[in-house]
Amino acid sequence: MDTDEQLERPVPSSTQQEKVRLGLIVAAALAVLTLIEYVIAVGIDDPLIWLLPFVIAKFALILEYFMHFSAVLGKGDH
Amino acid sequence: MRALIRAVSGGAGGYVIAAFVTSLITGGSVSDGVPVTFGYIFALLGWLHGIGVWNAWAREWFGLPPKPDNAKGWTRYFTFSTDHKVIGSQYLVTFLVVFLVGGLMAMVIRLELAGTGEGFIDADTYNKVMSMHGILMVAVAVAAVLGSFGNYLVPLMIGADDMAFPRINALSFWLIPPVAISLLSAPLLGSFEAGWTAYPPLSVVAAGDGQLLFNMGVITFGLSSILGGLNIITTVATMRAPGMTWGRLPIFVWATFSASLLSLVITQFFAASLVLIHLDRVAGTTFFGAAGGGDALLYEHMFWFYSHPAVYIMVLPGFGVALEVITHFSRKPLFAYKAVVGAFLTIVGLSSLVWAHHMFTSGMAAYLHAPFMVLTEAISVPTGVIFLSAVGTMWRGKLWMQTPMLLAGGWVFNFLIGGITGLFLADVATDVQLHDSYFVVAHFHYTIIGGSIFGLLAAVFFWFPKITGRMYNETMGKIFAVWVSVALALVFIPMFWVGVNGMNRRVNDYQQDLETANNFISWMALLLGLSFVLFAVNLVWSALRGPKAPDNPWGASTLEWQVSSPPPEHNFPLLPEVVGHPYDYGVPDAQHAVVGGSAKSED
Amino acid sequence: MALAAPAAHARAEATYRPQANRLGLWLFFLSETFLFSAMISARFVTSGTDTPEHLNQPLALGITIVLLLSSISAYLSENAIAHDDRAGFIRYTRITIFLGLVFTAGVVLEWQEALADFPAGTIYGSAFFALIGLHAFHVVTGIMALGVVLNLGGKGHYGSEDYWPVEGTVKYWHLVDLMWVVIYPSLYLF
Repeated sequence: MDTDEQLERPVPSSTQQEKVRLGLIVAAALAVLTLIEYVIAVGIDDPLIWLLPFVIAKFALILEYFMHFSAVLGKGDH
Repeated sequence: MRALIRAVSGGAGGYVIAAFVTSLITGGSVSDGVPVTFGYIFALLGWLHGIGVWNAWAREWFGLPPKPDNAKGWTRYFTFSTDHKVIGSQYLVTFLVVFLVGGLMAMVIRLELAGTGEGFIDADTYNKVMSMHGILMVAVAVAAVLGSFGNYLVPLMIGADDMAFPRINALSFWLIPPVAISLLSAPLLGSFEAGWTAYPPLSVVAAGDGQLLFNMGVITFGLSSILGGLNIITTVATMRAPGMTWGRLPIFVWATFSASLLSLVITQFFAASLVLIHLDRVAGTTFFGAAGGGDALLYEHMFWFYSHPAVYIMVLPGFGVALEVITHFSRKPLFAYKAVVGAFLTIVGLSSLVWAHHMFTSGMAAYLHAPFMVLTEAISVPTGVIFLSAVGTMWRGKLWMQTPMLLAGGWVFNFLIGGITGLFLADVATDVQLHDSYFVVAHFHYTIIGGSIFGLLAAVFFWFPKITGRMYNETMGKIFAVWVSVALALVFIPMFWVGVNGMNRRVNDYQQDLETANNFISWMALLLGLSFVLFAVNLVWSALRGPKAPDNPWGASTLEWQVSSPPPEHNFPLLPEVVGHPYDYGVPDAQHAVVGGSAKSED
Repeated sequence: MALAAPAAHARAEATYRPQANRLGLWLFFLSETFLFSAMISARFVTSGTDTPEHLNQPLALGITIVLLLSSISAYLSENAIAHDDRAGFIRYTRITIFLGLVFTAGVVLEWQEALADFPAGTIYGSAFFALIGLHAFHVVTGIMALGVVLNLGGKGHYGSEDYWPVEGTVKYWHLVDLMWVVIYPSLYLF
């Protein structure tokens, strides 16, 4: 991709490799959160209140980084 | 027609084969729960495959070129046509027919209630007829205006050439005939008798396996509503003509947009609750069976979380039609346009927070009574704003009393009665007395007939010349408008009285001293039913033999009247440009839109 | 004017199609969220946060990780086709489908155990089978959709300028994962 084309775009698109790295970081975060969830659930009685932040965090991570939710808000308007 | 024949044979074949194979596997009868379930699913798939989903759409998924059915002329109404005008007409004709069938069932109900005791039909049949009448009419109220006029007019009014997803649009219509067929064929499996509300435990334990067809049919109908709502929202959000800002949208578009927001999300709750009923009946789960630890109140919460906002899916498009008609026929700008839009959106938000007012006597937690009472009464504020707009628009206007305007006036009057009597049912103290009485029956018939059906009738007459290209008979129309309004009052006002005096709804019998009143109501119901004969005669005759309609018989400003009657394929030869507010009647030099290259320029 | 092509569209579809597709898909997701909310609230209303003794926790954690991995590979496959890397797209889509099938097999295995421990006629069993069944239905339809885009992508469809079907399918697959993020703790952990 040459530089002229990149300049025309409102947001410079990252290369494939950068996106792969971002995806893997997010996925690693999700895996860690899931494991912590599991450990909490096994260790604590009635862990609902402790698990909710993890659920919300995972939900937000997937929504934003995998599904690109903010893009729909940005471009959906006109 | 070939597509329709393929669809019917695909549906029937799918049902027979799937039900038969499943019954061999389970070792039971073909009319058991599991074979009927799989039979229905494969019948639906076979039907859709036959009507053209495969040819026009699914072939693409396998890299094959699609083969859309390019039928012209009247046969295109029986194909998987993606033209929003064809789909709107399909919806309209289908639901007018269903409406008349449901009306016939109301006649049967009133015949039975003309006298005490078991007269015309027995109690069991009464329950089945009453349930069928309920669900058919609810379906009509949900989709008759939104599906038909929403599809037909929204793209025209916003200056688009079609809906955003034409094939999903065709799919959402072609899901409807299987629903009608499965509901009407439920008597073959013993019918359903739990009312349109399908409360457990009756809907789970009742003997009639027609309940299975009810569940799946209504879930299919829900899918159709969801897809239809999704389509209208996307169309309005992304396909408006240049200059058509949100503040310039015709009010009918705002109304369908708001109703679509509701139907998109809350319909899932009805689908989910019926899935659970179905699982309780077929798969042995125990969501609602108290014996297994289930909770029947859960169903009522889930059901009313859909079915109360559904009232607004029914009436919001009716509001839109009435305001549209009133502003054009009063030759005045729509009063408080922005406030009305705000009221629509407030109703969307608020209506999903009031559901438990249907459950004041159900035994739910008492601390829920007060908040739901207050929220329910709060919703009369945005509704009041809409009334204010209707009356304010008419105020000192030059009223042109044609049939659509008469019916829109009927909408104001009838929905007002429905709204005011609703306050007694929102209030816990009075509701506890009036719950499940004929007062409730009269109330919701006034809201739904007043709010939705009168909107439908006004819309039918208002847009008849645009859709058919012919004028209806004005004299017959005016007689009908007066007749239906008077007969409606004669039927339903006495029902408030018998309700207050203790007549129970849903039961085929009542105490002796209410016989005279009920006899009167039944005769008046016959009068009301007969008015629709005049309606049907007028429409059918005028569509076939009526005089040619001009492009804009009402001199209306909105975009759909700026093209030929009926509109050309793809609506606008050139992209229209919107330059002003749609309802600036009487404002010097005001113009709503510039429509270039219209069919009119030929002559 | 009369000579203008009769089927001419006044507006080029390209001006609104990308926006319409994206908005439509998200509206569908919003609607799906309500369906799952209804079912999840049914679980909490009928059986609270109770869980039975015999829950195969390691298996559940295992299929959760499998679904998460499939989400990464779906992400990578979308990323590959967005950069015209067709081989990568095919490879990662195949991995996603495979992991989806593993997840489905895990559910089947789990159901066989579960039917013995808490049949559908118990109150937790009702919620368990309904909710996991609903989710598994979405997994299976997601696998079908992935199969369709894999087949077409293999035949040379899609490229960096034109990969909406892949993007939509992958987003749907992420939705399936997203719902599992809530269902998993609701049924196993709370």
